[in-house]
Order: sequence, then C-alpha cells, then structure tokens
Amino acid sequence: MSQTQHSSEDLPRRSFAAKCLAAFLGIVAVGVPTWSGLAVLFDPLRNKKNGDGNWIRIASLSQIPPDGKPHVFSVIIPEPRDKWNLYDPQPEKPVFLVRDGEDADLVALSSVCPHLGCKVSYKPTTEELICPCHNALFDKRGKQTEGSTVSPRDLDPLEVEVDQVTGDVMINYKRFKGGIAERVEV
Amino acid sequence: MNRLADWLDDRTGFRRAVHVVFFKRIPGGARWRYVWGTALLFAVVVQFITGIFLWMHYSPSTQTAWESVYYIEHQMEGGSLLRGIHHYMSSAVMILMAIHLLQVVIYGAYRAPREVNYWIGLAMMLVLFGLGQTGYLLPWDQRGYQATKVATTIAGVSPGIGDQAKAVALGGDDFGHHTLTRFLALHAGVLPGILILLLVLHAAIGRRHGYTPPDDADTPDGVYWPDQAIRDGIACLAVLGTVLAVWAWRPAELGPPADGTVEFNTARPEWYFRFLFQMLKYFEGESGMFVAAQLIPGAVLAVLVLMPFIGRWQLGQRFNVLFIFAALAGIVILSFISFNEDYNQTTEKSQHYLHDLALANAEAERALELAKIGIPATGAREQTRSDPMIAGRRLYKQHCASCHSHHDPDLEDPHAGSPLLTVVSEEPSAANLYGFGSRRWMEGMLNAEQIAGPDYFGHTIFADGEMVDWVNTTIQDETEELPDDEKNAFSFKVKAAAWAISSLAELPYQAEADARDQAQLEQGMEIVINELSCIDCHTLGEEEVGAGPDLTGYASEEWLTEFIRNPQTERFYYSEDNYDEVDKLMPGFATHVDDPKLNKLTDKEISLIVRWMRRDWPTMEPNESASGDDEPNASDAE
Repeated sequence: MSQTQHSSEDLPRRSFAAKCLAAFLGIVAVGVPTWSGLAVLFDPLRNKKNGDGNWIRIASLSQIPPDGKPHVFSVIIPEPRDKWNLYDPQPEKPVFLVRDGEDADLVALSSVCPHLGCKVSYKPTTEELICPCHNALFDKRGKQTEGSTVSPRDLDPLEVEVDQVTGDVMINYKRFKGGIAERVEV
Repeated sequence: MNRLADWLDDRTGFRRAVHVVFFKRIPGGARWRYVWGTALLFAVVVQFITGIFLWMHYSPSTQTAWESVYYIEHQMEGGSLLRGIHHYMSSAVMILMAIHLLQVVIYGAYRAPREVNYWIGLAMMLVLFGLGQTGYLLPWDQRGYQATKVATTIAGVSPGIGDQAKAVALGGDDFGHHTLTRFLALHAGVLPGILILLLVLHAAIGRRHGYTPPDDADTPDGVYWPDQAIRDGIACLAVLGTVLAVWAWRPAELGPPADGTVEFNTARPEWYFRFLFQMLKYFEGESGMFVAAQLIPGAVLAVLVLMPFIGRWQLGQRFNVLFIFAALAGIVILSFISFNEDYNQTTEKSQHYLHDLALANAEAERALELAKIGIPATGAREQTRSDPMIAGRRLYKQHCASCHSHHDPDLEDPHAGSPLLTVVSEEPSAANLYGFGSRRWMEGMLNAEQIAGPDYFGHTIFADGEMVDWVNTTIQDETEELPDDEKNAFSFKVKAAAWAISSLAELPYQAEADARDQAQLEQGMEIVINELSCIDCHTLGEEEVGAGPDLTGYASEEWLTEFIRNPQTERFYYSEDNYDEVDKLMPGFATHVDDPKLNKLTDKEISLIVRWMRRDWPTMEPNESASGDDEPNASDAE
C-alpha cells in the first residue's frame, strides 16, 4: 500500500477487523454456491453400494460338464440400473465355471483379468486361460501360470452355491479392483 | 514467501493488478448505491459456478434431459440446492440487471465518455435474456417445452428469415434431440462465452471511467478495500440469502416430462417474460404478433441504444428517465394483469387455469414416483404414456368424458378431488364412473334416491328402466313397509349385498377390505342370490338368465374391458327391451374383432382406461430404496 501514489494513501487505514469482515463476506457469498456444486460432484463417493452381495442364477448344474475345464456362462443382471434408468435384463461380463467331477466342488472364476481389466478367454490347445491384452496366463483353476508375472494376482474366484433341490447354480457376482496384488471388491 | 511473490510480480505485475482492483478510488467514499453493479456481477458469477456443476450431470437428448434433471433434483445429495440456486439466481440476475440499468439511466451514467460501455451493457442484457430463454427449455418438462414452442413459433413468423431462423435454432423442423444439443451449446457455451468477453470489456472500460459520482458529492474520496467491499459483500450475501430462502420455501419445479401430443393448458413463460406473453393477447393475427413480440420490444431497445444521444439534448435526460420508468411500469402492469388473469380464482378462466395447474402438478408428482421406480430406456415420456394413472386419465378424458364424468360424488365441488382421479364432463349424459364397482358405488346402485340420480342412470334411458323400477319397488317400498325395528336390519342386508357384488370387481384398492370381510361377503352373496333374487334378471356365474347385464365378475378387469369393447351385446345391454333404442346405448369402442384397425381404441388404450378406472397402477413399495437396489420389485418396465 505504501508504494502507491494513490489518493488512498492519505486515508486512515481501516481496521484489521473490517478487512476480515469483507474477506469473510466474499468467501461465504461465493463459497455457498461452490459448496453446493462440490456436494453434487462428490455424490458418487457418498452413495457407495452396500456389499451384502449380488446373487444371480447363471446355470443349472447339469449344464456344466464335469471335465475340469473352464466353461463360459453368461451373467444376466435381472434389473440393471444406471442412474435414472432401470433397464431390461442385460448381460454382464461372463464367468467361468469349473467342475472337476460329478461330486467335486464347483469353482467360479471372474473373466476379468486382474491386471488391467481385459476379458480373458480359454485356450483349449494349451489348456490355459489367456488374457489378450498383455499375455497374462492362468491355469484351469485361475492360478497364474509359472513364468507369467504380468498379473499382480490370480484370477478372482466368485462365491458359488448350488441349490440341491433344483440344481440352480447361483453366483455372488462381484467386481474387483485391478492392478493390485490384494483382492479388493469395488 | 515474499521472495516468491517478488519473483512472480517481476514477471507478471500481479501486485499492480490486484492493487487496481482493491484500491480503486471511490468518489465521495463508500456508498450503498454503488453495490448494484457488484451484486449483478456476483449473481452472474454464481450462475457460472452452479451452471458448470449442473452441466456435468445434464444429458441433452429427448430421452435423457428430463431424466437427468430429475436425477439431479431428487437423487443426488445437494442437487436440489444446486439447481435451486441456479434457477432462482437467474431471476435475481434479471432483477439486478433492471436495477443496474435504472440506476445508469437515472444518474445519466450513459453520457460521455461512458456511451460505449453503456452499449456493451445493453448487449449483455440481450445475452442474459438469451440465457434465460435457452435455459428454460433444458429441463425438457411440459412448461419449458410448451413455452419454448410458443417462443420459437414467434421467431418463425419473423419477416423474411423466420422459417430458416427457427429451423436453425431447433436443428430441424420440430423439437428433437438436436434442439436440446443446440440449446445446451448456446446456453452453456456460446452465450456464456460472449458474456465473458463483454463482461471483461465492461469491467475494463468501467475501471477507466470509475464510478459515476453523485452530483452533490461533498464527502472525501475513499478506496474500494475494505469499506466498499464490505457493503458489496453484504449486498451479495443478501442476494444469495434471498435466493436460498425462496429455494427453501419452494424448491425449483420440474413439471411433467415434455410431451407435445397431450393437452397442457398451463404453458407460461418464466415470470420475467410474462409481459411479452400478455402483450401478445392484445395484438391479433400475424401482423399483431410481429408488432407485440418484435416491433415494440425492438423500438424500446432502440430508444435505450439512442439514450446517450438523446441525453445530450436539453430535455433529453428527463425524457430518458421518464421513458425508462414508463417502460418499467408497462412491464410491471402487463405482468400484473397476466398473473391476475391466472390466479384471481374468480373468473372462469382463472379457475380453469388453476384446475389445469393442479393437474400438471399432480402429473409431475406421479412422473417423479414412476421415475423413482426406474425409468425405462425409452424415457420418462414413454413411461407416462403407458402409465394407467396419467395416460389412462388422458384417454378417459378424450374418449369417455363427453358422456361420463369421473369425480368424487361426495364432494360439493367436483374439481376438489385428487386431479389425477378427476375428469369433469361438461355435459354428462351417463353415469359418473368414479369408483365404479366399489362398495360405495354399489350401495348407491341399490339406493332409490341415487340410482335415478345424475351420478347413475339419471341421464340415460335406464332412468325409466327395470333396474330403477326394481330398486324403487323391492328395496325402497319394502323398507318403508317394514316396522321401524326391522328397517335397519333390512338396509344392512342391502348393504351386504352391495358389498358382495362389489367384491366381484376385485378392485386393488379394496383388496384388503375384501380379504378382511370374507365372512360378511359370503353372507352378502347369499342375500344377492336368495333374498334379493338378483339372478332373476342377471346372469351370475353358471346360471344364464335374464335381460340384465352379466353380473359375473361385475366391474372386474375382464368385465370392463369387454364392456368397453362392445356394450351392445347380449352379455351387457342388448336385450329385447331396447332393440329399438340401440342408438341411445353406449357405443362399442372395439367392435371389430377381425380388423383391429377399424376399432376406435386399441387394446392397449382400453387396458389403460380400465386400469385407471380400477386404480390399478404401479406404486413405489414403501420400503424400497430408490437407488442401487437390485432386489426384484414391482417394476414398471412395460
């Protein structure tokens, strides 16, 4: 202030409180609208889905050959929502079901590569699951093949349940965070 | 820190720039009357801030615009506040702009050397009008849609380039996807861009000239910071506080989704364009529209532009002040007349408007309920068109209301009931079908006073028919002959019979009561069959008899559907009693079984009407959360 030749120089300096008040008024006036915008912007962080599961019927037990190989089954979300829309049933990324024998436990694997999220597929000639993006390799049970170090972890297993009466195969469909060694649901 | 500031100042000169703003000279010291320009700037800045956040969540297409605004308003935390500030601050902008302009004219601040800056201000006014007009359409609700239709029709009759201008604005001959993309680009891109440019010029030139001092200023000059800044800050907060208060009192509205094919009688422009809306009423025909919407506003604008020159003339300044007040008074008076026409509650026109407004609000509320259940990919318009509550009522009004009213007979004012359940026929010539088949309805049917009255057979040939005769003799006369202590018992039996027949309708809104009163209903059916002997004339179940309409499943979905399809059949009204009076019976609406094209109503339309009359529509489960719930529930995915 002292550097200017402005006429203001001659005026008495206003008190510190007056300046604080002026600054406060300005900040509040612009702050409230900005805050309302930021509240909406960060809405996705507040409305996280609760994680009590998303059980979906995907097959009958009899449809899965007990040959120990991964078989692809499509996942149909019955009531998919996207913001305001409620859609008719829509397919999601499919899952692999592996059944070693008639009495063996059923294994369900997500088809999403834990590396960077591409869709892996089964290659019958080498009996491996292969990711087309960065050549990550997994065995028939989803364990990363020795020598392949691209993926930070094995394929993600999904909870699976078989209704003993009807033979309906239910899976708890989930998505996991890619690119990290730990298995974190998203 | 200081060294960093020095370094930066050396390269940018920011200290000087800050200094120019904060230590601007205030002629005559800080004053309240200097706050208006800043308050207007503040309101515009708030529109920029809130607008950008709204833009991030808005989806411009005919199937997502209303839907995304609904989602902001009702599903996102803080969304209603954000949209409320943006909505009401646009009104604040208009008011502050008027005050600013008024002040400029009163103090003659447009005179040399400020003419150019004054003209820039006028240009900004037009841009702000444009922002108001384009923003009104974006929510794509009935109000904005219909009002914008009017505005673009006016633009379309501009001499010479009208059609082309309209087609370019709409992105085609009619409203559609590109209307929204273009209006959004104008509203959020082009116009704000122009506004910023003009604003910067306005501020820079304004800085050069400084505040316009009052003529009688004898106080010493001051500087902006902090004395004037405090006053400005208080003014801005007062503006914001007012906007927030209005929002808290009444959040920004979202009408029913835009649908150009249905009746909507409450299309009105935003309040600050009401005067134009009103003026159009006084000028008739094509030339009148040009005069009211273009010539007169154009002339007013021309005078405003010329004010710096007029002001040079001796009495010019006085003329200018007089003119601006006259223009303002004209706007206020026209707006007042317009609002008064709508809201005075005494004229027939106003009452119609208020009924239509209540209906529009009820449709909007229903559309929100449907949206909370989940909007199909085809959008909310399609959803309302297949909703029995909204579309069923519209179809009833269109196809049934020339004869049948549908309003609560217990209310003195037929319009007083729930708007979505009310259709008042101008000249009813048949029964009032409100609650058709309900207990209340059936009780009235078996009541001598009511059955021949206007809500039942009063207007029809059946007023002298056998049913009325039977009620008069069997029920009315018999009751009168009974000793007093048995009268009650008999009327109770009649009531039980009425309820039993009503249960045949299986009305959703009576389901609970029907289940609860199972035992009484069985007794009532005994009375129907054995004591009142309804089956002497009416078929009921297996036994086919008589000339009266079939009572099997009376008023049920199947019964009503078939009845509307063709009531002139043996099952319903066609009998030897009225062979010669067929033209006085209700016509069939879907009599051509083999060639559905020839039917007046499609099966879907009949179904909507039937479901509306039976109040059979999807509702939100009370415990159902609106977002992210994957549990199967009562869905409306039709």
